[in-house]
Formats: sequence, structure tokens, C-alpha cells
Amino acid sequence: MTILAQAILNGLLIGGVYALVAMGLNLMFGVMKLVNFAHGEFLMAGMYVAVALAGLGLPAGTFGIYWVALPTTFLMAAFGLAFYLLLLDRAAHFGESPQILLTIGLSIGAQGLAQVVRGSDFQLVPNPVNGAALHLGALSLQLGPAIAFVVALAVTIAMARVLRRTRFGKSARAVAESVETAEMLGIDARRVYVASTAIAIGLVGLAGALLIPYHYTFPNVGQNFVVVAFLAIVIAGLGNVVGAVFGGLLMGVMQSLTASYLDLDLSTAAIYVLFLAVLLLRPQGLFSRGRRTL
Amino acid sequence: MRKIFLSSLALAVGGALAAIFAGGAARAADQVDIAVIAPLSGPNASVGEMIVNASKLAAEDVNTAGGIKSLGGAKLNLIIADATNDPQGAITTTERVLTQSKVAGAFGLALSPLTTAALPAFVKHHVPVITSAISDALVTPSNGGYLFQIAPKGSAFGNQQVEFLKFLNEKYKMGITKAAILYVNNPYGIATEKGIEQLAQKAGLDIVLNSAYPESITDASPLVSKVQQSGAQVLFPVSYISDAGLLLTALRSANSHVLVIGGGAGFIWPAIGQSLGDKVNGLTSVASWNLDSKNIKSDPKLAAVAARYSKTYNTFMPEQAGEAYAGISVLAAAVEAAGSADPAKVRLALQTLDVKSGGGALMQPGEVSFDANGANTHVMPVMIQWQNNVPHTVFPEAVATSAVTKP
Amino acid sequence: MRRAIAICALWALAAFAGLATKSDYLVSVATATAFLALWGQSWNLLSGLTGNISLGHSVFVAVAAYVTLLLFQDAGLSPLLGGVAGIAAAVLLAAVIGAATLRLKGPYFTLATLSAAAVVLSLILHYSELTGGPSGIAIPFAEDSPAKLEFTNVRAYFLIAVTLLAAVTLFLAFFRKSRLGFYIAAIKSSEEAAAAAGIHVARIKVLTFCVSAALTGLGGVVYVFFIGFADPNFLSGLTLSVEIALIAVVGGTGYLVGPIVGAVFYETIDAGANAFLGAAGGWDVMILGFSVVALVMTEPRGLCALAQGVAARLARRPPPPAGESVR
Repeated sequence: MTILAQAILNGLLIGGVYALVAMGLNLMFGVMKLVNFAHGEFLMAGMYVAVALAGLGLPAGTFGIYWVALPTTFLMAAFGLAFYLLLLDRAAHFGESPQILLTIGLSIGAQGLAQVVRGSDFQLVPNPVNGAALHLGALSLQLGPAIAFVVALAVTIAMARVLRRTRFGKSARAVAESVETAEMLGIDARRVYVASTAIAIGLVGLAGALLIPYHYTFPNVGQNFVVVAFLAIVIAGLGNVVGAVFGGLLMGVMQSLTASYLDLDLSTAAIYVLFLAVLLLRPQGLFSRGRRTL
Repeated sequence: MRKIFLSSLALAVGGALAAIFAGGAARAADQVDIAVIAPLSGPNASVGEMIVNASKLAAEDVNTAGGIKSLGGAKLNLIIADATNDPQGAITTTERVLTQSKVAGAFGLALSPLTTAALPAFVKHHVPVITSAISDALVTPSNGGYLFQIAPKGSAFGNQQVEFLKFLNEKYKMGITKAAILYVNNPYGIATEKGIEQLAQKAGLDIVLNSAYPESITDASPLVSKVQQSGAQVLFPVSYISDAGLLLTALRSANSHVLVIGGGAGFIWPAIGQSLGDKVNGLTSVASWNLDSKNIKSDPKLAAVAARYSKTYNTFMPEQAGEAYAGISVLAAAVEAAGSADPAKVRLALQTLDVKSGGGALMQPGEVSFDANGANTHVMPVMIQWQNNVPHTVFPEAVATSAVTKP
Repeated sequence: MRRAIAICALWALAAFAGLATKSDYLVSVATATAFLALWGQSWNLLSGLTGNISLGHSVFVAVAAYVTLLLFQDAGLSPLLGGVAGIAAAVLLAAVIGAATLRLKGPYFTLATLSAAAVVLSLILHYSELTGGPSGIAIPFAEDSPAKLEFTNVRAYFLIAVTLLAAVTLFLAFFRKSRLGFYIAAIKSSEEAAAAAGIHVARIKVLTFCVSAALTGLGGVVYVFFIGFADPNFLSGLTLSVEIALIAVVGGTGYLVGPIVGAVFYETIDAGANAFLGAAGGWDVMILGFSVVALVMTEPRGLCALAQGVAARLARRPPPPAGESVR
């Protein structure tokens, strides 16, 4: 029983980071119908930004390192803005294959750029969160992932409210439903695109900042997370931003359960199998009712 | 915009082709070319960087000491190339370097798949190559006699780890009988795991968990859960950097008191020390090379090499760097002995050479010679323990310079 | 017919150039380029023509190569025969994956192919007694032997690769004009209309996927003997799948020679950057990636469209006649 509970907890905690990565990915897909294959490299960039900021100094206290979270989020959001204006603004009309080509090219180039600028070293700023834990009876939770999980949940609730209540949210949902209709209603689709990209990249930057207390930063780090995030958004339902969070958590739990009960070695294969099964039985995703909603 | 793009593209392609065709033209007569082919991009770029850094130091040292004397003081010249991270890249790069330059020999490749893939090109061009990859499968008659493995064989690592455990058990009366093995599912992990398993059984250890895990994991807590469930008292993990970091973090979080005897790589490179700070001290691991083994500490010249490395590159000298320095020095010694930069003669010299002094003596136990299959006959892995944020050699006694503290 | 003649002429030119080139290095880069182009062509048959973008095509390279290699190693079967079994295995896998996933559209299909390839890779790694696991299988070189696809001279592989490439290109040229090609074109423009016209959309798509897998596998069989080493993480990895798709789109999916142009472009930059900047670490990868970005921002339809555009512009504005001053 303890084993099962621990496995599920472990999965949920790592799922928090997947969720943050997946949320941004799905926001961009929902609004722009664009699969951003460079999303992992934005995570990597976020981690490097956070590591650089942490290098400036850490306030005393266990949670000192988390001061970098907000600045990283905003810096990465600005980065997202530039990404949109420089590349996506034109690429939005390119069609699927050129968009895939663009984001894959960007992904390869960004890995090289990171190595050129920051070197190939594995970086981790020593901090008290790394290796610390919360203990609940017989269960133990790693502190870093636990914080990431809590933040991910808070961000999900906030995002759900933003999408329901704010003008941006309503416009974004309208654009996701149909660009033509939205524009007829007087919504500026381009502004929605810009804002969505900035938010999506900001979120993945936040994920990066939450990772650096306990995970190494290196040029290829994004690849380890992004494929899982891809699978998560399809399982949740493409374009379903809040669903993506559950997709991310599910991926984490699935990995953890396979590792605990089947074979460590097959934990990657298991999520792909789950993914294929969902895809074939419920192509609209687990958390969408037939049509796309943000 | 398009025109600019097209014309610049044409220029780039033209330039590249012209340069490739023109390449390999003139080489000064008083210079000996040595190729250093290592992964300098992709996930293993940091390994390549260590190799290149140390190779440069080694070449510098040979040259300031008067170059190759049997060739009238000819200077070593390194030709550094990126083997990339896939076999196709390793083949193409090797083919390019060996076609364009008349090298006396080569060092590098570092990873078993890259070495396996590139080997036929070395055989075809009759150029000997020294590798720091550890796979046992590399040093068999099928390598054609062109491959020389300066590092210990993968299976030897496991042996040393188990021997070390026996030593600890006796010294501290730890009474450890249950062992867990976790290894990353790549050639490096598999090679090391085999050795641990075989010897552990012979040594009467009960292996309660033996499992591979995928490369590029993002969370190690399932691994730790498995170890805890298994009731293991000692864990032999074989990991790279990122997974080693995650594993140690998860172990600490889970308040695990299992004894960790690391399988090299991730547990001994500078990154783990930098990230864990003081908490790294006490951690033990096997290593294919360490900077303060007896052969180095007892020779001021060799000790100075490790000191210069850390001064130049701001980290202590890691294992891949030590092997690269020794490898380049051994190549230089072979050129010296052959009295020729002809790779065929250098190869013959490597087969009969017995290096006991100079940079080659950096390898434990201070002597390098290769057997008929290219394996390093003298070398043995060492056990290190992190003390004062640097790995110290603590076992076996023949090369140890520090006493082990109870981990 | 004119196309066929042009393809044969290009083949003869390439073959001659390969034989005349002295540098083994250039020939080996050219061979790798030809294989990549071959896979790009096969990919284009499915993805370019039907619009279903696959990011798992390397799995067919791996399956065909592994089956052939294992039959060769364990049963002593010549790769010329074993290759047939290898290709059959790739087709079988394509039929299974295709039947399950081809009704999916857009990114769903793309991620499904990516996942299927990842599952196969995990299985190859897991069942190491059979497949050699992550260490892969090195092919020991014994002697020159066409029946074992073993040659000392890299030009032999080059000739095979360009011949296969030319054959596949010819096949594609005819395929587009064939009834099946016509059906596929109809499906691409509108699945609903095609179905209404009585075309078995699902069956045709699966068939196309199988043909694409067979051609990819064909390349894989020879390729593994060319590099002499089956490394699962490479042969069945995402990197190779991405490269295959990348070069086809870089060249232009709507063009018969698109994947060839794309492969030459990509490999030239890759090899050039590696040769001149490889020692600097990271620069080669950065330049490769950003060249692709620059290209796609310049002309999203690829290099062939770019060349056409430039040619059209030159035709409209003829260069000033000699003697006249240019302002």
C-alpha cells in the first residue's frame, strides 16, 4: 500500500513539471494550431536564465533560490514575444510542414547556441532544496518536485480563470474555435497570438526555474521533457490547456507505476503505449468532450 | 532577401568545397600530426571538451620538452575534430581527418558506439587509434590490431567495486550482504554491470535488485523506491551526470542509508562536486583514472600536470582528461620509438611499447603497454572517495594515497 | 519520358562523379547523402503526397536493417535474401501502424508515428539477447563479397546508393502518374470528395504507407552494411526520423527532386560546418539548425520553390546587354 502510494506521489510530483511544459504547448496549439517542436529548448533557455540569475546570489533560507522564478518567467515571456514577432508572425500562415521544419530547425540551432554561449557543462547551483524532503508518515516527498507540483496546480487554476473570465481568455477561446468567426466579432487574432506565445513561453520558463534547484541544466536538457509533454497534450486533448495539466500528471504517474511494478527499463515505453492506446480509442483526448476547447 | 540568401549559400558551398579539396596539402616536415576525434557537440560534448583540454596540455608538454627527439625535435600538432554523437558522424569525421591529413595516430572517440563505428576507417587507413571507451568488446582480435584501449575494461570496474566492498566490510565490520545494481541502459552501463554481477556472486553477495533504467530519465525516485523495497544494503549505480545527480538527490530525500559505490562517470566528474557542495564528501566510486593515485603523487612532474590542468581549466583533472593526457603522451612515445611519423610504424611501436616514464605514466599504476588485442595490460580501475570536494584515491592499496573514511 | 531520361542522365553523372572523385571522405559523405535522399523520397511518397507527416520513419530503417542483419549473423543468410525478409518486416510493421494511425490527422498522426518508433526502440533495447541491446551489432568485416554486401571500396556503396536513389525516383515519377498516384492526389485535395468518388481512402493510405516503408527499408538494408554497425539509438532514433522529414521539406515536398536537393543542402552544411567549426564545439550544430530556420523564413515551400522563384525573376529581368553601363 505504501509502495503504491509512494509511486503515485512520485509520479504526480514529476508530473507537475510536465504539466507546466504541456500547458504552454497546448495553449500555442489551441490558438495557432502550431506544434512547437522547439518548446523543449525554451525550457532549456529558461533553465539557463534561471541558473544565471541564481548565480547572482541566493538570499538566505531554504527557499532562497526561488527568487529567480518570477524574473525568469517574465524574461522568458519577453523572449516569447520576440519569438512571435521575429518568426511566428510570418510562419503562422505557412502551413503544417514548414512550421514543423521551422520549430525543429530552431530546436537544433538553439541546442548549438546554448553550447556556444554557456558551454557543455552540467550546471546546478548548490542550494538547500536539493536533497531536502517532506515526510508524511512512511511517505517521503522530494521538496523540489513538490514545490513545482504545487506551483503547477496554482498556475492551472489561475490559467483556467484567465481563460474563462478575462477578455484575453474569451478572445483566445474564440480564436481557438474559429479564427474567421473571431475576427468577424472584432477580435484581433494577432494580438491573441502574441499574448498566447508570450504566456506559453513564460510558463515553460517558470517550469525551468522550478527545475533548476534539483535538476542539471545542459544544452540538451529540453529533449528529456518535451517528448513527454507532447504525449501529454494529445492524451489530454490537443488545445485543451487545463486538460494538459492532467495529461502531464498522468504521464508522470504512468512512468512511476511502470517503474515500480513492471520494469524500470520499460517506463519510457509504457507512456508511449498508453499514448497510442488513448489515441486509438479516444482520439479527441481523455479530457475533451469531442471538440476543442481551451 | 532571397538573392542574398542564395548567393551567400552558393558562396558558402563553393568555399567549403574548395577548402575541402585544397585541404591536406602542405605539412611542415618538422611536425607530427595527431588526430583528436571526440564528441564535441550533442549530449556528450562535455566529455569531448575534457579530452580536448587535456590533449592540448599533453601536446604542449611534449613540445616544450623538445618535441620528438628521434625526428629532430619535430613538434606535435593536434588535429581536433568533432565526432558528433552518432555513428554516421563519427565515421564521416574520421574519414575526413584521415583522408585530409597524414596523421601518425589518433586519440579519442570516448564512447563505445562511436569507437565501434569509426574503427573500420582506422583499419582502412592503417592508422592506430587509442580510445578511452571501456567496452570489453572493443579489445578482441576483430579490431584488426589498430585499436588500443588505454582505459580499464568495463568488466574490471565491477570487479574493483566488489573488491572495495569486501575491503570496507572487513575494515568497518559492516556486514553487508545484500546488493542492488542499477545501470543506465547504454553500452557503458551494460559493460560495467556485467562485471559487478559476476564478481558479486563469487564474493557471496546476494543481488536483490539488478535493473537497467532508460537514459535521459527526469526523475530518480522510482529507482530509489526499488532500492528501498529490495532491502539492499549497498547500491552499485552506473550512471551519467544528469541521472547520477537525480539519483543522489532522491536518495538523500528518502533518508536512505544504503551505501553507494558509484560506477564512475557521473559520480566522479567535477559537475557532481560543484552541484552537491560539501554533501558530496564521503561518496565513493570506481574510476578509470584519478588525479592523485600513487604513481602521480610520487612523481612531481606528473603531479604538476594535474595542478596545471586545474589552474588552466578551473576544475580538478577528471578521468577522461587524465586518460587523454596519457594517451597523447603514449602516442608521442610511440612516434619517438618508431623514429617515424608513419602510422604503420607507430602502430608497431604501440604494440611493443612499455611506457614507464613521461606523460604515459599518468595512467595507473604508472606503466602502459598493450597486449595483442590492444588492451592495456597494467591498468586497473581505482576506487575514489570525495574528500574536501575532490576525489581521492583510496583503493586498492597499490595506488591509494588517502585513507578511506567510513562512508 | 523526358523525366525518366533526365533521371538516368543525372544518375550517370553522379555515378561518374563518384568514381572519379579521389577523396574517400567526399565519396562517403556523398553516400550518406544519397541514403538520406532515398529515405526522403520514400517519406515524401507518404507525407508529401498524402499530407500525413511521419516523424517515425527511422523505425523502418531499423527494422529492415535488424532483421537482415540478424538473419545474416545467426543463420548465415545473405543480406541479398535476408533483405527481402527485412523489407517484408518493415512493410508488416507499416501495415499495423498504418491501419491503426492513418485515420488520425495532423499532429495526431505525427505524434503517433513518433511514439510507435519510440516503442520499437524500447523493445530493441529491452530484448538485448536477441538484438544486442544498446550495444548494437558490429558487422565484422571479412572480405570483399557482393553477396554479403561487404566492400572495401566505399565507391561500391556509393554506386548502390545512387542507383537505388535513381530507381526510387523513377518509380516515384511513374507512381504519380499511376492510378494509385491519382487516387492519392485526390485524397490529399479532399478526403471527403475522394471517398464520395468511390476511392477506398483508408486502404489506399495504408497501401501508400506500406510502399513508403518498403522503400525506406530497402535503403536501411544496404545502409547498415555501409556503416558496418547497427546502433539502435541511431537507427531507430528520433534524430534520424527528424532528419528524413527535414530534408524532404527543406527541398520541397511538391517536387520530384525535392528530397535530393534537400539532402544535398543539409549534408553540405552539416559536413562543412563539422569540418570547419567542429573543433569549436556547438557551432556546427547551431549553424545547421539556424540555416534551416533561415531557409524556411525565406521560402517556406523549400529550396526547389526558391530556385524556381529566382529563375522566374531572372527571366523577367534579363541581364543588361554587354557594353551598356550598369547603374
